[in-house]
Amino acid sequence: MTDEAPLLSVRGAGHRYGDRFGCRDVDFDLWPGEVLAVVGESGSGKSTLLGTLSQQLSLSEGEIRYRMADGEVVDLASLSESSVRHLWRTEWGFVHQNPADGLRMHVSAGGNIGEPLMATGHRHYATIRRTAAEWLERVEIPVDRIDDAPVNFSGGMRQRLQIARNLVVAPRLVFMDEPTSGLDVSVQARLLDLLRRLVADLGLAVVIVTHDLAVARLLSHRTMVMKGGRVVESGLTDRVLDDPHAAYTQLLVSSILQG
Amino acid sequence: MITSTDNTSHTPLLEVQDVAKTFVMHLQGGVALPVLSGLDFRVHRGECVVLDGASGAGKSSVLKMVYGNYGVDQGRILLSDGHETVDLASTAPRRILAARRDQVGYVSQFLRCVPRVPALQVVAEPLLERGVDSEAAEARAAGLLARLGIPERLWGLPPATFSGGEQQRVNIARGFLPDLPLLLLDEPTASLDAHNRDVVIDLIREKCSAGTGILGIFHDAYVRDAVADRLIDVASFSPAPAAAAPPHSGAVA
Repeated sequence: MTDEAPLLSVRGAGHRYGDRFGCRDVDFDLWPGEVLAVVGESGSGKSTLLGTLSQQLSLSEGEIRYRMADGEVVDLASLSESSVRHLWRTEWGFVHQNPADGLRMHVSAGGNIGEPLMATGHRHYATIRRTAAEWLERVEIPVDRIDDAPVNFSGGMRQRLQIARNLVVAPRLVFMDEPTSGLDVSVQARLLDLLRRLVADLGLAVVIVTHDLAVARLLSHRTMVMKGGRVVESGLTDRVLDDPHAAYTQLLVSSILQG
Repeated sequence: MITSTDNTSHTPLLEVQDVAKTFVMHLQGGVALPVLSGLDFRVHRGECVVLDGASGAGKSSVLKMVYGNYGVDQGRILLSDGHETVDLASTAPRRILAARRDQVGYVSQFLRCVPRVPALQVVAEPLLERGVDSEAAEARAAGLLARLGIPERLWGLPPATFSGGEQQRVNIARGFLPDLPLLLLDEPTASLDAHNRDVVIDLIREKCSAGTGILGIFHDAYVRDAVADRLIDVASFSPAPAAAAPPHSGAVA
């Protein structure tokens, strides 16, 4: 959190579905080591925004600038498809809500972690296997499951494996789409604690979409609240949650069940 | 003990200037609840300043504005490290985060438990985040837990299962462990027995002697009298004759 340049700079970003905007007029900067939560209900545009930021949906208007590992700042919309693929292999990760969307379900756990390494040029089998074993341990999956396929894993284990598969190549920016919401509450707590530690240890920049304000509170430094495709409020996470100004944020905050 | 007065010539650690705060409740038809106006005071290094006034006067709101989790409608909250001064009322979120890492600590009324994390880790975490190695951080955390009377058999357990008083002592240990120039205390002694209350009084005095400035709320007159260098009557900054209670207290925090 020094005064270095932002990793991601988003100005006036929007994505249009036909004649309707899924999200519009989004502005923010994200620095290395910073976690930004995008919260809102379904239909708020938060998933559209995540898709647009991660280049899975086209940018209909505005600008998204990204500072590459070599320091060069690029306009993402102008990157070639192969450059974007290169970013996915080396600098970016994406954790899906449903682990099956981010894993190869019939490939072994070790293979799921080893594959991204091989895609970035690692060739030495023993090293790859050792790294995979280390990552299984890191995400609290028993190492003796290394040859089992995730199709035989519990939901929580699958999600932890997906996280390992994403983080093994030491990405600089990770997108997360509701990573905990498909899980039982007890499993969620464990995953959140794990994510919190990994994000801090690795100094990751993260954009996490969630409808769960408790997830935003636990993981994020800053929060953007979306409604109807627009950002209605943004700022320091605990300020957005403790002193919400927008009517919609006040409604969301007041709707949290008190434990 | 170092004592300072408002007349000290050097830059205060904290200078709150003409701050106003109003809550606008959109779910209640946009009713505006002014809580504070014209709030003005300073905290110097080594000084313990106590926010005084009846419940609902806005004492916790003052701490939350200084820590940045409440917005400020008007005025300035200047925090100085002796070289640079930042206005916490208007600066960017990441500058507030940097201030929390390097300059301002906050002990809230309740421990916000992270599931699964053992008490020793909860306490050591602020040091780990600041780059202290885990062995040294845990040793210091253990020392403070022991001093606050948390039995060693509990250190490996998550505090969610502890009693209210034990959780509060874990919270105090976590907040007191890092050495930061300014420490905000929101009723740290509320559910402590007499012995632990005295331990906290000693901890506060030690912090001040080491040059930390403290801004705190203590309903307990015994503690207040033991630690306060100065009292600030928050009710005197109430915008209306009848002070409005901050709407979020308890319900949303």
